[in-house]
Amino acid sequence: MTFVVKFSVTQWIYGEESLETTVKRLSKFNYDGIELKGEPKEVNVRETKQLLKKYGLEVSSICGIYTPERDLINANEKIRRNAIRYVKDCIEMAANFNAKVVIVVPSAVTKTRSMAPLDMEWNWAIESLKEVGDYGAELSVILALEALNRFETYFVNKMDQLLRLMKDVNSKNVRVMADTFHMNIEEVNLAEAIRRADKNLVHVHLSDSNRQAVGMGHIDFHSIVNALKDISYDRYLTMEFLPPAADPYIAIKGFRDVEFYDTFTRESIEFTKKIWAEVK
Amino acid sequence: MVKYAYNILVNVGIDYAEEPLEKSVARLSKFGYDGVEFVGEPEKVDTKEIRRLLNKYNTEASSLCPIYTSDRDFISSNEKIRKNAIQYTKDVAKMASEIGAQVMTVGPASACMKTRPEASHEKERRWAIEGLTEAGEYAADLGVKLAIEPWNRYETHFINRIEQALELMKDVNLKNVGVMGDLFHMNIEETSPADAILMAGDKLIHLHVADSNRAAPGRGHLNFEPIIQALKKISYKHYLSMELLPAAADPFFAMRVKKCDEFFDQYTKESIEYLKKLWSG
Repeated sequence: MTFVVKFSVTQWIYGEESLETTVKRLSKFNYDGIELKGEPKEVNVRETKQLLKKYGLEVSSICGIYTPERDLINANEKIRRNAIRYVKDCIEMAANFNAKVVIVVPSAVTKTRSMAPLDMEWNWAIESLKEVGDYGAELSVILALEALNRFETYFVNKMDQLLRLMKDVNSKNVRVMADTFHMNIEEVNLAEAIRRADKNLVHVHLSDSNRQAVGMGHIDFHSIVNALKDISYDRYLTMEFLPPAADPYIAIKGFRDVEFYDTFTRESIEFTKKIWAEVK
Repeated sequence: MVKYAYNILVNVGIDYAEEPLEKSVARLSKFGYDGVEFVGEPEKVDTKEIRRLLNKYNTEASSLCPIYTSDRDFISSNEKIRKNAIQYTKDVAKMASEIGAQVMTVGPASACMKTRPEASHEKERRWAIEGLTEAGEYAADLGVKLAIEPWNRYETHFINRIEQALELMKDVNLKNVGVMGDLFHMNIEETSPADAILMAGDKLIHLHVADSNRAAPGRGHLNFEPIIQALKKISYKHYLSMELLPAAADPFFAMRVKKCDEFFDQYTKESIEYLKKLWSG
């Protein structure tokens, strides 16, 4: 069967393994694309393009990696400037690979306390996002704002906050995304949050309640797919499963069960496709 | 009969300095709770005063919730800190016996928010077993039970799921050491919260209740029906203790920044109403 949505996996979760190993695996399990790790300075564009061509994959999106030095709302202006520069580099990287979306977390990941009054931080977020939004518009790349759960950020945890931020930024190329793992902790109703995002939803990260492959926890994916169909979502569903650890950026450096690689990658897409076909 | 309690941690704060203790106890009595879960800080509170309040409001102490700060860590690589955790647990057990609480929670045997190990897993396990055994034997003499509590991955690296808590409990192997669940953590870590309760069976001696977002039950998306069915199936007769906290990595910092009025009258009232209705339904 054919799907109006496409499927990819985010590269960074596989840690240090070679791009070819990852790409080969995604191709083997019938993914349409890969979400590249947002490290514009490290990526070898020519080689990556060759590999993608060889295995018949496209780049769905770029996953920005928001370390403390890439904090769009930091009280230190230098750090904000650095974060803006970084997102622009990711936008250029996306354009280079014909990817439509760059993921933006409007604070550093695992930063759980504010450094300034919230309205000040909100204004910095607007300023930073306007600037990268304008740059995205120039290169036809959309920025997808992502909310993280309370343990990974204090700033924006829920879809309603994301939508408010998006409205305040008021830039055509700044939109929102969903991540089912974070939503399971923060949203009162996951499907309704997706419906409220409606046409502004430009990207989706999928993993189950325990951040394992779709189907391995207790999230009701039927209701999620139902909501996605209701809003006629026709973009990427990107798998982002991770080991159970507090800091995801550290988690990927540690030991993982061997099933993390092939089994999770295969079951994620099989289970999601099955549900997508079941929901009318 | 299952009983209802509310952890007044969110009302009195970690240092009993937020609202006067009497106000918290009076509130729970008013809204029909059977017991009060107190914060386990023996040095910050007078057990005679607690007994007076319990008597005055015709209620009981359901349990004690100790606060395992970084200097109270059963699995620290620093022996002094491990000993301090054991001594602290004994002090809380003594406090429990003085106010008539039968259960004290001991967390996952690690300090709150400690998410990186300081030693090999084998060593950490050995320290946890040693510490819980010594504290457990002391508590047994006082008639107090210890409940090992798994926390989600962002609050501990050590014990995240009921299955792991049961393994640790078996290794400690004391009659008065059991396990407990917390629905907020279970929503993140368990494949199925209801199945985890069934797996614990009669070893489950306490339950912290909250919805998926740590607000009052009914305010998130947790499916409570299978959870209550599971509790009935294991003939659960202990406390359902609401542990509700603001949506932040550090809830107490968050409370200082923003007033969280809903955790007082509003959530206290609606939590018990919601659960009683489900339980009888």
